[in-house]
Amino acid sequence: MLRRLRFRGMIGKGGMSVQTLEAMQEVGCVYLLVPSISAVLTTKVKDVKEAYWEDLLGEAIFGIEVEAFGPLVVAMDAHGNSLFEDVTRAAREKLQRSTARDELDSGAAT
Amino acid sequence: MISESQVSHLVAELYARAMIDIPKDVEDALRAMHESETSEWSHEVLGGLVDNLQVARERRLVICQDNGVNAHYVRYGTGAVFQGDWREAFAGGVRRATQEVPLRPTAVDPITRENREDNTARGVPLIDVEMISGADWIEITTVPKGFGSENMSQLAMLNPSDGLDGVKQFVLEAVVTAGGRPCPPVVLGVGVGGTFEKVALMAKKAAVLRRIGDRHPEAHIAELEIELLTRVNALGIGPFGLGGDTTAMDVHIEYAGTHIAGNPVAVNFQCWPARAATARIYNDGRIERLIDGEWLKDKWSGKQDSPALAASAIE
Repeated sequence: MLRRLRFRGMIGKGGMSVQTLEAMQEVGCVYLLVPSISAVLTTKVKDVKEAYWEDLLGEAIFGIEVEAFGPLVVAMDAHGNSLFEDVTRAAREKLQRSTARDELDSGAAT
Repeated sequence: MISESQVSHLVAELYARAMIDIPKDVEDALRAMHESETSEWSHEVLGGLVDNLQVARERRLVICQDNGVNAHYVRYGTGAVFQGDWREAFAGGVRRATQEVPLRPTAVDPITRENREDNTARGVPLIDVEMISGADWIEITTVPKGFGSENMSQLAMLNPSDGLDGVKQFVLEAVVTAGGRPCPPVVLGVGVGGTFEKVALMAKKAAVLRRIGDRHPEAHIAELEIELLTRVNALGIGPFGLGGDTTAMDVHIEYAGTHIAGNPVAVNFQCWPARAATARIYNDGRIERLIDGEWLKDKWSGKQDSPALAASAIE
């Protein structure tokens, strides 16, 4: 969808897949993380311009006009960098190191 | 006597309150984390969370757009007298809150994906009941459980030979796998022992009912909670997975005895607003609103389980 529509930014939480990250590089698109703070975000909406697939109820798509919408953080950029991936990789390495220490400790105890 | 309409009104109020005004312990924890967070953008994001609480309260807006699946944890006094349709009391309250707040209709049939547009479905509202000897009240805690966090839940029937180290490893792996998706800073609920369904329910109650800073009454479990909290936050996942010091606000563990051949463990995540609202309704119609979570301390020590399940499986 990104390759077809070639939009330049998306806003969400939780991140997108590696495949999407690749497509983002081709298109020149960034992923902006927004925290789940709907009360604050509601106050930033100036106008609701359009609505699509309203039968999807809570998952319908709206075109909205916003001002100072955020805070937003560039979590995945158009150069193949993903903050989520970096953080998860670092966390996994830390976990492996601490597990190795655990095993050493319980080995020493027996 | 407690009537169906009294309970229904109360459930509507609790669902609405949980969606708009978060418990004080959670707010205090978020403010403290905002102060101490060293990662620049995570500090910024935590500031957004704190601002959001204020805006939600002042303008009566929901804290998060996901009103979750509505779950109601009931402590039912053996002396309480209820008259009417028990399930309808909850469903009626949920329908009213959905319309009046208003809330997104998020409950669907899992097979047909049909949506009744009122946040009820087969088995929803979810109602969990525990009997309390001698009490003349019914106490309801309404928890809108978001699904970003719920989807990250994990359960494993480990081997006894995996031991306590296996349990710890499983919990930490679940946190790394979840990353930013359960909307950290989370409250992590861990169930240990029991059976397949018991371990899941313990993890869930540990995550959603116990309050921030509340420690398990048994010292060795309390120590385990602190150890896991320290190790989870050392992973550096941070708010929404952006990296930072604050991945979990707390870790709570509940346990029950299990079989000699078993070592069940379950992990449930509660997202950052850790939403819950509680009230107690007495036979004489009096309603006591329990807001700041203080009362919940020591309520979920597992002591009310049957004596057969009281022994620790992981000593």
